[in-house]
Amino acid sequence: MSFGCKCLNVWRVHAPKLATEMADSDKICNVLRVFCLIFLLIPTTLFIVSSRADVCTDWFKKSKIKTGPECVTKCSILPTGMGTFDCPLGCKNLCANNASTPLSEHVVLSLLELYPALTRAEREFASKNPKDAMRGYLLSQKAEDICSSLYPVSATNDESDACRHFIWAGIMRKEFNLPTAQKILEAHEAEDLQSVEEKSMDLANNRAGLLATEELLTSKSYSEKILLEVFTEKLKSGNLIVIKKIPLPGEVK
Amino acid sequence: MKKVTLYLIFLIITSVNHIVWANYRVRGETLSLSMVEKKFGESPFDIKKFAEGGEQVRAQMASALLKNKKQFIGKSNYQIRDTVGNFTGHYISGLYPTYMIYSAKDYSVSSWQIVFLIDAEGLVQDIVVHKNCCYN
Repeated sequence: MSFGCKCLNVWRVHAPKLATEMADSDKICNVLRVFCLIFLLIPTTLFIVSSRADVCTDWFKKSKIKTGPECVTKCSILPTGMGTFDCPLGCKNLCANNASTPLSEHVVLSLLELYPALTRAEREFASKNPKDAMRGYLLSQKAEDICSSLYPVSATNDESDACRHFIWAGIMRKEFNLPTAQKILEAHEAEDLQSVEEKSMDLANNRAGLLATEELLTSKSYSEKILLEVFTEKLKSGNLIVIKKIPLPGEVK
Repeated sequence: MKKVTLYLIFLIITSVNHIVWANYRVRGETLSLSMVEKKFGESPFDIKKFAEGGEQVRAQMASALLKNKKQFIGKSNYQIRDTVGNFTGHYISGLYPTYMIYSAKDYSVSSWQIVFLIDAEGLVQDIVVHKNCCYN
């Protein structure tokens, strides 16, 4: 029995006169279908949407985060549970009372909006450790920015690629303990779009970055500037893996 | 009643629109089709030449690629790699098919790349010419 006929039966029970007079009319069937759609589907959708909104509003209120600068950033890294896992996606609306959103907030929003384009392993990690995942992704942006001070291009398999991996791994080790940093890095590489050679390059440079920060932390001389200097030294001495070599600006090819 | 129905329809369309577009917002600067034509020229798109060509060849075909983006929409990032070639640029992660079309030698000019924007399943949703470096 079609959706329209079920609807018609209900109609028959409640309005027998009208039903007997107009039961065979295609026109009334279509009208009933529209009514069924409006009275069943739309309220159900609205109920689901509003109940999700309520859950997220409660989640946001409990955090006691004030709207204003850094509201979105703080909201985005709030701990979530099974029922509130997708609430960070609504941080922009939850913080909407803030008229001027700072640039750093937009970066967080972009990362949240680009969340679907992560590897399966990254998504799994993020579902268990949303706060660490968010911090990790923000650090990947930071690594890109740091490396853009060395290279006017951000490409694949070249020195800029090696730099991103080395620096990201390095600053992640500073931010997290070694196992967490390794987990985030491994999750990022857990996709087989790359060739074995490319993946080996990324993993080797990640490892070099982790070790470099480990040594700098031990000697208590860590800073991002020094980490970048270590990268340049290691690159020049051939201790990093690069598939496609390009010279540093100012270097002779 | 009519007003309520119209309001509900508007609400649903707005919500769907927000959900759809939220996933495909681009980080950084992009060029419009007319800007791409002006900046890189207008060569017809030839997938074989694009796959085998260098940055200059790809740059000249960028506008035609944008015009013919429909043929790539819905294809997976694996299919893009296999037909269009290995990725040469960088956008967020290695999952996005990216192709450099202009690599700057210094900071006086910007680097540009073609980015195939993908969804959660790795399927292409849009193609843009994106400023690869530098954001500062």
